Amino acid sequence: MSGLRIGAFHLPPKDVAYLRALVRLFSYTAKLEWSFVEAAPYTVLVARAQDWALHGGEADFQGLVLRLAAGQDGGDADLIDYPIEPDQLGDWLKMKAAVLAGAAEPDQAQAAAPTAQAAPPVTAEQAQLQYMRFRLRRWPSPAELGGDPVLIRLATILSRKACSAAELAQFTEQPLALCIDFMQALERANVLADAASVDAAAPVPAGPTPEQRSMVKSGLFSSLRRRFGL
Amino acid sequence: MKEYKLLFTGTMGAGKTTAIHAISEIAPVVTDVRNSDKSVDKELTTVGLDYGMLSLDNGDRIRLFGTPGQARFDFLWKILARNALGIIILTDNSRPDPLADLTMFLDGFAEHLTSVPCAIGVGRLDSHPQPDLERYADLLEQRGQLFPIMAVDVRRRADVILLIDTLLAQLEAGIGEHRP
Repeated sequence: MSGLRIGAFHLPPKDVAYLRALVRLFSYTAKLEWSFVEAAPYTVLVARAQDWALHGGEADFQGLVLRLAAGQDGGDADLIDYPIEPDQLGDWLKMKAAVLAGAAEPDQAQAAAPTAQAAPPVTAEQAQLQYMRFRLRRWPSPAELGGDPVLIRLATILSRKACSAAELAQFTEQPLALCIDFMQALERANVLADAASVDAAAPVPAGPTPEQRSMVKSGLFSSLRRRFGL
Repeated sequence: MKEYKLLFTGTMGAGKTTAIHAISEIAPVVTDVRNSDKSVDKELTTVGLDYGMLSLDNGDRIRLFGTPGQARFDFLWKILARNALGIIILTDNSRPDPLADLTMFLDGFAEHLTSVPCAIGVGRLDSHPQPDLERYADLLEQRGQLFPIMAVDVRRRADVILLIDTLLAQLEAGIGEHRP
């Protein structure tokens, strides 16, 4: 694990999950040496500006604080937009990593390797879908599914299991891009909810019965799929 | 060798017998008799149950059961649903109130639907477009339930297989098994 540790201060769970997903994403796409951690010691704390102003003293933290507030004009180097813009966060983390490593002054580091150039284009929505877990809260309309057996299978999985697009792609052996596109369409249709909120509000099927577990051991699913050419 | 049960249920005329016929490897055992219910334009109907079978390459067998459609046989539904691999509910959109029909089956199988996968196939949607699939999704959402819903023509084997595929996907997701 990297020595650069980023934590959240008084952020709502949804933002924590989003921040964690972005930090993980940057570690792959931009090779940023940050890890999201749940407990001190922190290299950086991320907090909404108003929360830090009111409760920052409670944290007893002398390190770097990245504050979040809506409608930022870039005047404060340690203040970025809220909701978090992935590019802004990535640039800030890269700059601070360089400063902390003593490799360069902030301005030089930012000029040398801006994250937006190093990383493939990633929208906030795509980053969120790729690593945050979602579940269906309602069966999608034919407009989203188009009668496509693959999309129907993806939707069925999401009806029973909270998945990120990355997990859905791995689980179903479908391309990641397809899973991201499909989950974006579901989100636009307002039938997808993040796992935390849907787990609290929506019906969650009971866990597998002993009979169902025995089906796995017997190879039933693969036999049935071969039987039907699925 | 293990044996499993797959259940087809739904109103009279929804196509349970036809669906079993589409995938069974044996000629389905059918217990149709002359329909005495004059409110339904159907000459024959199932008063007992239909039965078909599938053999798998690992030696297991899937027994396919079609329940009688009438609510007065709901005691049989519960017996058949016990330890079922999945339940497929077929509705006939040409009937006067298909959403009420679906409600009857969701209520009838309620205790099993918390653990047994379920899929809903809506028949005759082409000729009777209302209620559309969104209204079906509304109904499930109001009931706090979430199952795959799709338009089907159970005379087409592919449609029946797609319903079964969604049952398997639910089982795999619930158990956490990856597709082979």
